[in-house]
Amino acid sequence: MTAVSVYAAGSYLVAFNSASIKRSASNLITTAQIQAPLNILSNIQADDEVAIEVDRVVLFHGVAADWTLNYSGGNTSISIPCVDLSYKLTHMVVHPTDVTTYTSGTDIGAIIYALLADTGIDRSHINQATGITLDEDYEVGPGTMRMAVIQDLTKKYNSLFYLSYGKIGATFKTFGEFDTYDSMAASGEFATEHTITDANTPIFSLGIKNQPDMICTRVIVIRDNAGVQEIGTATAGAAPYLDKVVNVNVNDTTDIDDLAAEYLANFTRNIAKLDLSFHNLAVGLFNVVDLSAVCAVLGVTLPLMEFRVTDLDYSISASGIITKTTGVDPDTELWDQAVREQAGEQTVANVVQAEAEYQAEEAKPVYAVVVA
Amino acid sequence: MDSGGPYSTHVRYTDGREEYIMTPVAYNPGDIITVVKKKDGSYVVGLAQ
Repeated sequence: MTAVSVYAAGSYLVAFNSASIKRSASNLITTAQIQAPLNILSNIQADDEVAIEVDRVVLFHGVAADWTLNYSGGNTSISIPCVDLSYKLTHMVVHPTDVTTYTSGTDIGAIIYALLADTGIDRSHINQATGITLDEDYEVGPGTMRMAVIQDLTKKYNSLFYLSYGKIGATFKTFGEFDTYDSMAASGEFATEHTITDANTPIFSLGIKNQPDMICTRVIVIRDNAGVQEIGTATAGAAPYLDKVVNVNVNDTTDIDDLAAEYLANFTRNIAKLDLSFHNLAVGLFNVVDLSAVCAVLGVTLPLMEFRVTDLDYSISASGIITKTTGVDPDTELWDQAVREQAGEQTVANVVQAEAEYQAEEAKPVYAVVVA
Repeated sequence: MDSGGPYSTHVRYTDGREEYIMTPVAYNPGDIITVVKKKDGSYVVGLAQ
């Protein structure tokens, strides 16, 4: 029997109808939804602390947002959408009126540490001395949200920031996780492995599909430094090649051909993607799931037996949990934005929609005159 | 307007900024165009008139 409990506004709920959580490597913001009889949740207000725990593993910790009241079949119930503490990062500015300057040579970890101040996010998992330092002064304009700065820094310096949840004593915690990718990959959620067997975890569905967009046999890397282009290529196999062109950050001083080789390895690793739905096992983001046991029972051999979890969709009821997950090769380096997006739930429809929203919001056309 | 590009088109924005952008067709000096810069670094250019 799986032990499921939902904590809201200072106490564990004695009854709830269902809960669901959505979590993805391609999106820093995790959301949850809880449904319960009205009398249970009526005391919950926006910004109250909420946590969902399955078998003593904290799967979600955050705050309640607005709520919706439903009446059907003579029963009144209430549903409460919740969001994790990344909400604070997207709604708290670095400085309201002044430009904040981080000087060249400052460790990225120390900046992230400073940005998490007063957010309620525990900073003990932030490595403040990663050795990755700013190569020039970094200015943040007044009114810039903290999340925007974190995303910009992690993208610029190829590192990964995410939130994890835990419990110390009776206190639920949200931890900010930041380190170099190599250190991160060796510990914590990245090193947690779950063996899936049909005996311990009834499997509802299992699918593996390849990602045609990521299959490329040649990577062309372009580093544009004030109009001067440095180009590196890496190839696999013989011509003709399927190409992928990557623009790299000018601040990244790695040898251009090494970068090309790194990208090629990363893209080709990502070609198999797992879709798995199973019962009663609380798997966390970035954990590794091992399918070799279940494959042995089924008598099939897969090209890849282990996958790193990049998307999670939990459906929780009082009697257990159904986890829907997608995963990629554990060796895939998820610091790369393109890989992370590919690994996450970036379907064609999502990308088209995101592009349309971006066009509408940010990429407004500007007028220009053609000059000779 | 000729096709057969890409052409390097020299444009001046309303704020005075100038730059060269690659366009699939050649525009004539004096043409007013709209430029949409996309997240991936590419442009969408259209004739405004």
